[in-house]
Amino acid sequence: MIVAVMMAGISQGSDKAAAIARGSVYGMTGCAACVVTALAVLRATGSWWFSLLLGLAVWFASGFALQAARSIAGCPLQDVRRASRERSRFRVTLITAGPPGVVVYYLQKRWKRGAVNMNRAFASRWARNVFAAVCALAALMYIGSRFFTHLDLALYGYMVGTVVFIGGFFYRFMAWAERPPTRILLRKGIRLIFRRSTPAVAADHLVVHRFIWNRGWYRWLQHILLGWGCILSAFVTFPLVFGWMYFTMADNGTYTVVGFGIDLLRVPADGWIAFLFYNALNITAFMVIGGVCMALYRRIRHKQALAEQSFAYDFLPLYLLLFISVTGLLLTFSNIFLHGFGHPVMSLVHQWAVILTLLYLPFGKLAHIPMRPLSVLARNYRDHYGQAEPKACKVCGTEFVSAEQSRDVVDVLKQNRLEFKTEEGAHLAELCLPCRRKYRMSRFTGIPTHQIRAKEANQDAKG
Amino acid sequence: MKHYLYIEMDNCVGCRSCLAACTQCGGHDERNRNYVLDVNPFVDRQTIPLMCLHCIDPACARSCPAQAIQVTKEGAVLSALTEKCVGCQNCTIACPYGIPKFDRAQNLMYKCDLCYDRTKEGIPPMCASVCPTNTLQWLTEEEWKTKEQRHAIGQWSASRSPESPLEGETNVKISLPGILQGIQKLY
Repeated sequence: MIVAVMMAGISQGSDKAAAIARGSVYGMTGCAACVVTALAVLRATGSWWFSLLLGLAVWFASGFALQAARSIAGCPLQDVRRASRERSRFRVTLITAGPPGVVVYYLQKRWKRGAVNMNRAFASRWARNVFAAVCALAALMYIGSRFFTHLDLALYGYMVGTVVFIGGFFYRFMAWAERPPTRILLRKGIRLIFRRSTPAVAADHLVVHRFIWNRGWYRWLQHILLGWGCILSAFVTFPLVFGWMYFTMADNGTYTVVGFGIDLLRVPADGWIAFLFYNALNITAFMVIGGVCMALYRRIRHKQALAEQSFAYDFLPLYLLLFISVTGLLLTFSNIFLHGFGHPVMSLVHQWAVILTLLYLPFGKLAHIPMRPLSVLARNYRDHYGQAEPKACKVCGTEFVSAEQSRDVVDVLKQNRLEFKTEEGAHLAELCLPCRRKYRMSRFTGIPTHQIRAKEANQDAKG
Repeated sequence: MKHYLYIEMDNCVGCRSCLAACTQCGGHDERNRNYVLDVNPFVDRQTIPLMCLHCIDPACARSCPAQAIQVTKEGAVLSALTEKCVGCQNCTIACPYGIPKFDRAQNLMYKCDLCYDRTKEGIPPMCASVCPTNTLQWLTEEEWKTKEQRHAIGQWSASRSPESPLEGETNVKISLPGILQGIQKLY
């Protein structure tokens, strides 16, 4: 707390520091209340999850109550009259509606003042988002694992790793979303998410990767193996880690697959579906190994890759995925051929490799996985605004982009202190590309090339 | 050693060798990434090559929502990273010179990368290595300094400060055509 207050004080002034200090005090008081409540409830009921849940609720509620109490106590003098009127209304509510009424009364009042703003309850938006994501995850785990009765404790390391990953993920992606062009595209793209074309574009970009097919079959195959190998592994692993999926055997020889507490299907334990379930991660491991080998081969052959690649950005993620796949397969190998020899050590090595890769994911090349859906938003943004209001070139009148995007780019450039005005007073982002090139000729020579109605000739010379 | 691509605009005869050579650069997939433009098409045959000028503060990279356009330590503004480019085409609109090209099928922007596989080793880019008239030159820092000093003598200077023909500082250096401005250049 002291460090946080000092850091905030240095970077953002004493007001912010004071707010953080107050917040910490409320939080820590709430923490004490939480511990006391949890201990008392545990002693009384013997139910650890109920006591934990109640303790957390008390933590949250007491923190807010303290903040509310302070804001009432600290109201300025000129508001005393209004405050006394408020106090009488508070008493009436308390008598007529009891404690729940008081809660509603407070929420209403704060809502009107605009004070029920979750941004204020946390030190930063990052903290709020991480808190919300972890809470949502905990709630999903609670429901999905039938109230924490089916958690696989052999996988708890992955659980902790995921929570830390969420922190890093929000750190990286909130910084990214703050960049002016990203902010615009995210905001406008999300507003257009319910366009009719969204499912088709999403399937095209995110599932079958047709744009990679158009870059060559080799890259496509490599990416399908790598990408879907990883995604399928995640689809298998995460539900198991969070208790969202597990297997029970009511009748001997038949497995019941339980997803989110619902019996999904029954499969014979020696059937082919069960075989796929047992070997899902082995299959995806082979997919990933195949993809990594193809990618590594391309990286030692392709001229542009050779020129631009670096170890940390291009090779490290490949080696990490390879390491995960190989150690995972070694677990199977140990089971089948070595009667489990070395399994405990190897499972820890594998676990650490997965967790480290997960933590690294938002910060390296693998960050393109969560970034990629932006391409669907970008397509929607271009299509929607392109149909709504196309932009005609200021020189030749050809429609070349949407008016919205032209304005957005001008804004973004202005925020970066870049403003490109033509002699005629238009912004260069309002000129179509050929006219922009011809305008440059006019700047070089003084001859108004962009005003001459002639197409750019012979631009497709082949080698 | 730091090198600069240098464009001596007067010399261009419009042979399009630079376009053809561009297609042969590693990773360019047989498509060229630069332009040769007619200056006054119905009057004379003067042409000028236009390629990415590799701005110090590139508008394309500034406008990219996915941080797909990287600038190397040599100052080359690279083509979009294939895994990051989301196909919004902000860069094509932001570029004051109209350079980036966009492939709809591949959902990918591509632009001059100063033949980074060559220039990072100090080898001239494809366009400069084939130019038959020395329009495109690959100069060391000293050679460029000498040219700049000569420019300062006459009024055909490439970078007339308040009246700069470019939109900001660039890594590619240019020398404006003198003949078209009615000035005799002495070379």
